[in-house]
Amino acid sequence: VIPINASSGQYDSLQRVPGDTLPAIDFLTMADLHHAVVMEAATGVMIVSASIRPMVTEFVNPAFERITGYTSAEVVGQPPGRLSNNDLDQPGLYELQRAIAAGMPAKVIVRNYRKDGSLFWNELSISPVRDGAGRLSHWLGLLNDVTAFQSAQNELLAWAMRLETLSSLSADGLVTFDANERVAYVNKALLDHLGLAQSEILGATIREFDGLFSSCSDPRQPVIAMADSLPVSARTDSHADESVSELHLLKPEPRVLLRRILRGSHGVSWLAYFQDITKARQVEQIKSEFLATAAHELRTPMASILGFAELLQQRQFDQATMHDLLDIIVRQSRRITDLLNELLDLARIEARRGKDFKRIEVDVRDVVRTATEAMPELAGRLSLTGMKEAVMVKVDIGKIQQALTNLLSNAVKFSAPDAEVSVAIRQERAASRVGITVKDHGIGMTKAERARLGERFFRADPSGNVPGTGLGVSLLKEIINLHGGHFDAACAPGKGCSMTVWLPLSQPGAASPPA
Amino acid sequence: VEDQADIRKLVRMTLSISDAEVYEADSGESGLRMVSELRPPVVLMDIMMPGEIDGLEACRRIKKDPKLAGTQVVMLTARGQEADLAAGKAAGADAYLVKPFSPLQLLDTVAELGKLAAA
Repeated sequence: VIPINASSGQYDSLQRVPGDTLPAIDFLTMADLHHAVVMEAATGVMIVSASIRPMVTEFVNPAFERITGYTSAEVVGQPPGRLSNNDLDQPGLYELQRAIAAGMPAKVIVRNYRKDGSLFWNELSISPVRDGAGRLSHWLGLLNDVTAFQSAQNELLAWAMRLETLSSLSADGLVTFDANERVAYVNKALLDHLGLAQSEILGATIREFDGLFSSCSDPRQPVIAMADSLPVSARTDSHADESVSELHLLKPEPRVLLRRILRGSHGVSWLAYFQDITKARQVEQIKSEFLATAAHELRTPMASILGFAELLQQRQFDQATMHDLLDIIVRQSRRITDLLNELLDLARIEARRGKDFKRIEVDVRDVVRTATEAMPELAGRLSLTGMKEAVMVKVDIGKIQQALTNLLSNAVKFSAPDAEVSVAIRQERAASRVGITVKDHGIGMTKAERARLGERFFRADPSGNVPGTGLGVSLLKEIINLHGGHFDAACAPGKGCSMTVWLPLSQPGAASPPA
Repeated sequence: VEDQADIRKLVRMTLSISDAEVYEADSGESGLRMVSELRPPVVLMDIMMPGEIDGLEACRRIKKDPKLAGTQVVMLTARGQEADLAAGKAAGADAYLVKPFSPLQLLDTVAELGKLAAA
């Protein structure tokens, strides 16, 4: 509200009104009032003469001075356009030029610069002013500093970009529904989960959206419809308000998704988030299968131990039978001990991922000699080849010997007591690796058995006649893989097996002792 | 019907206490052949055995065969989880003994089922 001082015929601002002036509206003209509006407006006003060339600024109001930092004296009599400060390549300025050339009004947002050089966003409207004869006499320009608005909008855009990037990179699916409960946004992950294009899903109702899931789902585990599981409470801040369900999809590929539905706000009615838990479920299943198998493998020898011990407790047996039964108890107790040790070894190696391996440079021949000499069963039936030249590897000697011992004891266990077992070292310089092959002439394996070799608890002899835990090859594979090598096996039923451990050679340049 | 020699021996020695006649097979296939030939009142059946026919499948076939009606099947297995017991029941097993089992318990079970089979 602005008091008007009638005695001077001028408007005046509040602070400058002398206390004794009396309002006398009668003496004011409409022109005075218009002038007051122009001088007090928050919008910058500039009037540019169009009748002379080049155009010059004839008038600016105080708001213009505030917005631009230029005083009236600095711009009046000068051509307009100073505010753009040579930042001329802007769509808004081209639009302005076209409007001026056509003598038409225009409204644009352009980058302008204050007197101190600082940038501001100017929402500029221009309109032509014509005289009684319709000739263009002036241009009227109205300026609004929209810098704050513009930077808020830029910030919003940047946020939207960041969110879009994040949600498109996310492995988890995301969908939002608008106020009419139709799909407003869906991210890339969810489209991939369903094998759909964006256009097939945008605008869908919740029921239609449920239908898309049903058509992909496993019929044995029907999808719990989203429409039937919307959270009841109206609160948006409570986690208790989430509705969580597990969805099993078969198409486009088997997948387990954990769906969380949340109530939205600000134009979003619902938001659903789909966490892909396929991998986690698989790991859980492998773990529980492993546990069930481990329990089975421990229960079987335990059945012999407990059963025969109870029989011995309750019945009288002759000396020979008693020995026989005690033998079984001892053998099966050893089997349980071996099983537990190997299970713990396997768990330790898996958990440490080779971090506790003490790797040192060693000659493969020494490792082979030590491992073979430690097995009395090999006496008189072992043939060694490839022992002429030193082959250096960088390994944990104890672990590699354990792996070799597993191979050698398999060769001994699964062949006749006097059948030959051969060990060959073969260096492949081009592939920078060395192979240690253990070959036997034992019972061998069928193709199906070979495929299961290395599977935990898999035994080539399930009868229990040949002692073993079914963990030896799993353990050896882990050890070799963690050394950067790999394991190979070739078997034929009735003809024996040839199993090779490949290890990477030490890097050239490393100290190599003479052969 | 059991692939582990030690367990077969344990069962044979246990059942010899009750003067039962015991026949052994080491796979589902040979077990089925033996059962249809000898028609025993009670069959003790391991579940996890090598070959095409595991203990559950062998049990299903015995229970489906009208010529073998009345044959009692005891699952004798190291698989002791709820789901395993349910699978045994679904296959038609009359009793389920989880390894390790007590020989006395085995004797009782076989005696009871033997009476049922004779009835």
